[in-house]
Amino acid sequence: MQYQYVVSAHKSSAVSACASGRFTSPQNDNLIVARGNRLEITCLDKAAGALAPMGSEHRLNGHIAHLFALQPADRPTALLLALSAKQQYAVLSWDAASGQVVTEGAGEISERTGRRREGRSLAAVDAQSRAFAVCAYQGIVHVFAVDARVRRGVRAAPAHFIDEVRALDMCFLAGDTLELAVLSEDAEGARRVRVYAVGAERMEELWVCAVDAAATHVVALGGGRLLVVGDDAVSVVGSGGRVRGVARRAARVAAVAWVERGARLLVADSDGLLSLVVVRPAGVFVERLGAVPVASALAYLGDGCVFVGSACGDSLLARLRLTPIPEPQLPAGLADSVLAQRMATGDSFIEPLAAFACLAPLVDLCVAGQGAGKGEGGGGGVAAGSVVACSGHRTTPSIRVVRNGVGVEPLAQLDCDGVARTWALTLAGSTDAGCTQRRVLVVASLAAASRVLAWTEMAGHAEMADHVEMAELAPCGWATDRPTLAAGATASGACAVQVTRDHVTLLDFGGRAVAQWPAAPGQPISVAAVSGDAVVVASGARLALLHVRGDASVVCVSERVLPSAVACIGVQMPDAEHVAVGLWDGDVQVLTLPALGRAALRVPALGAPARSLLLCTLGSACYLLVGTGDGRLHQLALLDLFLGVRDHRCVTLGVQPLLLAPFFNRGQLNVFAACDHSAVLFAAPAHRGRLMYANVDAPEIACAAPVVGSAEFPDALCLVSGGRLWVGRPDPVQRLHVRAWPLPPWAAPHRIAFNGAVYALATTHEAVGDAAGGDGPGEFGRLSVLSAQSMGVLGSVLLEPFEMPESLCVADGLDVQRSGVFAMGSSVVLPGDDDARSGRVLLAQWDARARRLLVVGELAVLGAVYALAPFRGMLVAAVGSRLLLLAWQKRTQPLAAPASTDAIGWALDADWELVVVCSQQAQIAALSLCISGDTIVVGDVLASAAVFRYREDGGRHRLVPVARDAAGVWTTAVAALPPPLPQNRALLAPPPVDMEMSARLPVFDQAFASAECVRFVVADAHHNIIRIAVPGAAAAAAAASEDADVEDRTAVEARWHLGDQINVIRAGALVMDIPDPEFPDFLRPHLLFGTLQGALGVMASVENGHIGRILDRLQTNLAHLVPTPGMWDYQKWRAYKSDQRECMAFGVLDGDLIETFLDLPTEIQRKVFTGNETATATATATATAAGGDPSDSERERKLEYWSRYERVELLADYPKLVIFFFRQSSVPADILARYGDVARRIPSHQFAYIDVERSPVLSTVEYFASAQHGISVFYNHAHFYNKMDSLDAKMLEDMVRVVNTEGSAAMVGFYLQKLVDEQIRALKAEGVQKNITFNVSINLKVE
Amino acid sequence: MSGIVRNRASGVVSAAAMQRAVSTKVLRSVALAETKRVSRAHTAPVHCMAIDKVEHRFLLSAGADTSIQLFDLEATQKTDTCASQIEPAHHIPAESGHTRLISSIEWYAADTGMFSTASFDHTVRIWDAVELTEACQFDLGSRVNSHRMSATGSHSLIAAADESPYIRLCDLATGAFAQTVSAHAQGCNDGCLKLWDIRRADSQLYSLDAGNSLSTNPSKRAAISSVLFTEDGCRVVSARSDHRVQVWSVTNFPIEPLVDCHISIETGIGSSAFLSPGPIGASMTSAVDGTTAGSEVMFIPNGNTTVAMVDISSGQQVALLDGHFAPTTCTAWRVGHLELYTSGADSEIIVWCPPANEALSDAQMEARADAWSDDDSDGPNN
Repeated sequence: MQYQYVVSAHKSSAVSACASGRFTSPQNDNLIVARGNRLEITCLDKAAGALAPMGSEHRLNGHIAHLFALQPADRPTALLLALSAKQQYAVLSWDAASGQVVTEGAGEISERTGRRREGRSLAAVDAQSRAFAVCAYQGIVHVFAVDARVRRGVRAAPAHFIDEVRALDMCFLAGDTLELAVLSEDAEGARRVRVYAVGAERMEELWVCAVDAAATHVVALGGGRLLVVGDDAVSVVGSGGRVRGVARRAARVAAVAWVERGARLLVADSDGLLSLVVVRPAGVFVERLGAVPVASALAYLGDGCVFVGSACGDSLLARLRLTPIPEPQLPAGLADSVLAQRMATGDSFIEPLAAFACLAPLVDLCVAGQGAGKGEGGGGGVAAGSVVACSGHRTTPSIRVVRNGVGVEPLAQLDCDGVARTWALTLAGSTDAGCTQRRVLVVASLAAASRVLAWTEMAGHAEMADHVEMAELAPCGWATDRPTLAAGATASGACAVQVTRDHVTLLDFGGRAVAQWPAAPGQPISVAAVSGDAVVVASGARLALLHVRGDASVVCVSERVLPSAVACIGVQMPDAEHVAVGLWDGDVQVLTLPALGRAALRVPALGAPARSLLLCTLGSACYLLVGTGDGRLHQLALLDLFLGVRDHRCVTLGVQPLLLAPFFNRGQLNVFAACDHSAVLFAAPAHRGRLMYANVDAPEIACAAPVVGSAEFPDALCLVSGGRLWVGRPDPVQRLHVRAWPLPPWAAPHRIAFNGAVYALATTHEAVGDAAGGDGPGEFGRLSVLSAQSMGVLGSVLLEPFEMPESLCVADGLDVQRSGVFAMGSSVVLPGDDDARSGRVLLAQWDARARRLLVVGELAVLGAVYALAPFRGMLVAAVGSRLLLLAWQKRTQPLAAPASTDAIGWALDADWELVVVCSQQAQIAALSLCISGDTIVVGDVLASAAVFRYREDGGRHRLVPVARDAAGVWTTAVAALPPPLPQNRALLAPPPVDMEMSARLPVFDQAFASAECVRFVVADAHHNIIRIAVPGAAAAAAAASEDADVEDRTAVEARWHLGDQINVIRAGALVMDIPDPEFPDFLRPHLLFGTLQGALGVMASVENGHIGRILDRLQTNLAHLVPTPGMWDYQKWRAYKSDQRECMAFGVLDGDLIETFLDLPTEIQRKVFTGNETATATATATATAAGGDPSDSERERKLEYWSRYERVELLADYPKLVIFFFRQSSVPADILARYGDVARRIPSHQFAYIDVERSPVLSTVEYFASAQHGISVFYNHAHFYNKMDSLDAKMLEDMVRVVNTEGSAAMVGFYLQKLVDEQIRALKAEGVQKNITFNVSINLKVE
Repeated sequence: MSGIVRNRASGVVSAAAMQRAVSTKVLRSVALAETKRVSRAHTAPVHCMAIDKVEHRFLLSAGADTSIQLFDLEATQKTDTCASQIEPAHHIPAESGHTRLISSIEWYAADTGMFSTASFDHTVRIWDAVELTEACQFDLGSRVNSHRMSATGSHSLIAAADESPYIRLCDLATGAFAQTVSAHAQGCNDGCLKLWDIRRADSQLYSLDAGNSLSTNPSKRAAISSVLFTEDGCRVVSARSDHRVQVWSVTNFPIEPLVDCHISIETGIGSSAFLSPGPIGASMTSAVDGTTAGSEVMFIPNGNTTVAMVDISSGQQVALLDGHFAPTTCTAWRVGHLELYTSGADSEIIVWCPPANEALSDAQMEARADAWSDDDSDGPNN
């Protein structure tokens, strides 16, 4: 069994919903933003105009479709109402003491009959927060009263049937009684608003009013009136009909938000324009405010601040002004050139404050693999291992380069050849009128000289200098005629220390030598390190510690002779109590200061002499970091008191000597490891201080030195790379570095490919003619080749009218003579046609020498070319419903004059042409392709995937259909998985405990276990991932010999719900440079995917059945034991769901969840892994404290219930039974009364049970366990139950599955009637004994 | 379609809208399958068919010859013309079970271990689908025209309509008749559609006869030939012998049907026109918006040699499938596979599917190349 490990490298960044309110405290103006399944709670800092995050992100088990702030009259702070895409709701509150989100109530909206609404459900909240309404089904509205009961999650809302099958929007009227207005469209397209009085039992229609045909939003105005906002008009309607209205510019309304309820409404439209609708007694007015990103959600935060959340570009925090701002300054990081242009056009009342990057929608991506060069500039260009993504749609397009690592922003630079090492130090000079003069010195050591550069700053000066002039220091006390070995500032910062071969010199602010310590004659200093007042120098094997006394003299404190010559010295940071010394014989010694005595620490053999040493505290642990000459970095975590090494890891960063430099980055100590693949080490607070590596997105760096104490360049580094000395500021450390290249709207790319041979990217885009794209109005397709260095357009080919680019791939394999070839497929949809009748495949070559883009081959086909892929020196093209194999062959007829000679760059090859060598009917519309060896997998628009195998006999090429997944899957992307590594094949099968189960699963069929088996991943439009296996060619041949007509079977090996639409899956991995020991060979990342919501994900295969299963159980336990806000069921969130089928997820490991395990406190980790009973008490106490329930009796009642039920189990052995276990030896009296029937039957036992008819009813059973009762439903797999003796204790414990549920207690009685006597007896006979014997369950209910 | 696929990727067009557009187009292209056929196993008109709802793989058919055939739709044999032929996997021989025409057949919804049949021999029988043996039977005392089991398997009641004025509810759990609801005055041809809530004492909810009651002469009223709950359980479709199809809402008290339309083809002599158990493939049903002409279609055997494809939400007739040589009797849609099975009085079962969905194997290609060597044997472009 091969598990698929799916994790998001860059989490989805599209804003799906947002809300504002006083959530965390009555004083705070909070903005709560939902991105996919994550909630971000921030607090508006009005003075700074910025959002301060409150705690970390909160992960919910569901895609958040709606978010509202509820402000009940009896609460000082607001509640948060979240609605998931799977019709669940949750009412959340904030616990200020613990800084956590608390679930007040949660539940699910489900109807046995009724059709789910197409798209997302509608929701509305009463202005006075008395109720909220959800329309999740066509023609059905559920109204929830927000009272004390909904907070306990037991309220089952009545379903009201309404006439509106196609409801568009709804809202509560602002009035004393609950009245709901529903905007809907009828079959003829006419729209109307119907207002209902909401009663306890039913909704009574009050009035109805026809509205504009383009009305899309309805909001309450007060006084029984409504404001109807449409694409081209805004109108006020009341019970008497339309009162008044005003036209607005025609654009689809994207989001609305009240600035002042009933008076001023913000309207954001799909063109990215924000306007203000002002309702006055005199009339309705619409004012244009200015350009903003295209909104998906809008929230007014008070004090003029508005948040524009976007799902197709960067989000924006802005302040509304009363007067137009002539030239708004765009905040840093806003990668939106269009917005920048539009905002700069003036007449905007919007002052941008902050921008939030967003990759959505990620339409296509490519992975720059081999051949991707190193950028020449400071951090520019596409480097190997980068992901280049097309993101944003037509209004806000951009190309984003995502790299695993941090970028360094260049601040200043100087051409300076031959620098070997560099140091930067800051000296404090005279204080003059409250300003301290500071001088920053950069000391560069060359082969036979040193250079000292300096600039002066005025610290404490109110105004910063416009620019800093870096000048070479006039010759003075600094020794510039020989290389410098070390330099630094003394502890007071008044003097500098320079160590050369012959001297240790102390220099003052002006550069005069104050004191000097000469090296012993004939023993020149070979290595030195300066740390404050301590200077450690070594000459050969002799080590000396010098001290700077009072900034006036340098004296030798102690000396020691070591067994071998010293290679490097590292003084402990920050307090110099130890020094680490690397010797040329490969040993590393740690000596105490100042005595230079040997510390107890023994460093293990490292294999190569150390070339750079660092003793420092990162996070809370002390580390000895050793860089060796072969580019490896040893990371030794030390025990306290330097007694020993706790953990030793080794990472290969590059091949050149590694130099380590500690530096402060945003207040955190990080380490810069400079070599040919530089990296930054940091202790990740989110991962409990684990040391993490981040690649540096900058060219080869020979040496780095921190610039300490400079006000001009805070947190800067002085770097040496390729003949340059430059000062740069690293980005905040994160594992992914995203760089945006905004594009004009007419160049919105939609396919992208990277060709390493010419170091160029090709994009296809639709150009809108009236912009810079073409000659007249209309759309034009275009193929452009971009420089991977600068993203500038090198050349482009304009397609014919009505021709649109569809697919793109690199086609260098077609012709060995040519390189830099891209193949592009297009479709031609003529006006009046609903589908493409023809298309073209173009071969375009970027001629790097001539710097021209030439079309060298062309082939017209009958249909849209949806996908292209290189295949065995040919091209596979998915054209309409067919699959074509295209080859580059010698022309049989001489080249006729090209059809479109006027096109630029038309240079068809005179000898070779593109021909179809094989054609095969594939499916309805083959949208995506992937190749695995000889096998081609085709993803169909609605019929899942089909597999074809290439055969060649007698020069005839064939594509033979071998298998087809017969399921209606709306495929969005397919990708082939490489076969498992040979050494992992034996490990794939799970340990014997699963034999029983595996025998039953077809997955474990021999055909699928073979190494030749082809596996591929299918992503569908219902946001699922499916993995399918097809037996290999040998197995297929065996089957074919028996019966030629039998197609191969396919086996679905994994089904999982991602919650986001995957647009593209490509082979590749973000970790390319570092052979990370944390990625052992059984966990192999192969695939990268990009989603509609802007997430960039990684799919890896876990090629070890045992590890996979442990992770699977870990995931299960984490999902059930670690509470998430909303208490939505994790199983339901990840359950596969499409129109056809709904089933539990299997075969996929949720990396985002599993990785949270690392961040949990140790004791919780232990509980997650083993489970134990103490968790019950802890959790109960916590939950009660955090519950925020005002009533003590209520709390006691909950506690009492919790203490009574030990657990509730559903046994797979007895699928018709749910068993309750009670803590007491006998069933409590009131429960006996409640469930009297059960309890009477088994008076002497600790359990009661109910019968569940069949497995589909399981969800109903979950209903049964009520949040009011605080019951958890637990269930075990029968299989583990029976095989317990063959499991070790840990395995036994971690497999217990726990399901937290909520629902209605009313269901209990219904199911209790279904008791069956035989089942009691059976249970008594076997089940009971087992349960009691193996009583290892965890009872944990955290609310 | 290319534009809509592009726009789905950028989120401009929702996945649901894209699916609606595509499935509408695909469904309209449904035609006789070239590569697949069902072998002729019946010797008399086939009156009923059912495809299981679990795997969508097993087809049951029965009819006037009193035999029951079980087809595994995924096990095919190659024929001379290189089409894949579906042979019966099992069968219950004629006269070994029912002794008269079998009028309806149904799979148990929750698993493939059981199915039920109703027959003119006055019985409703329950069969073990694994052993193909009879498990139990209910004797209703008159010819059973139709029967239905729970569509979700949530209860064990079978509703049977016989020639008496009552609908009988047979309880599988007890083997007895649980309830009898009074249906019609006499016979089943008064043209009224009635809806019951069997949990209530006064169980009849509505009697739906829009327009029909205007005709005072009961004999002039067109009889309802078949009824069908839509997949969401919210609407009922009724088809009358006068080719009128009406769609009713179940949730609101209906005075007028939501949709009222006529099929343009004359119904022939076939009296028992059954509707398909599920209107269309589940992969498309929930992509359907109730108010747009989309892919929510149903297939109505017209009684002549055709089957009409009608859009449920609009009442628009989408296509007419003509392939049988005798009156069509019933249809079955294979969920998720885009395959329609129709049967008729010519004892045949015919497969229909969108032509684009038929991939030809090597042998089929060759056979076709031989048969059609004139035109597209090696057409370079497609």
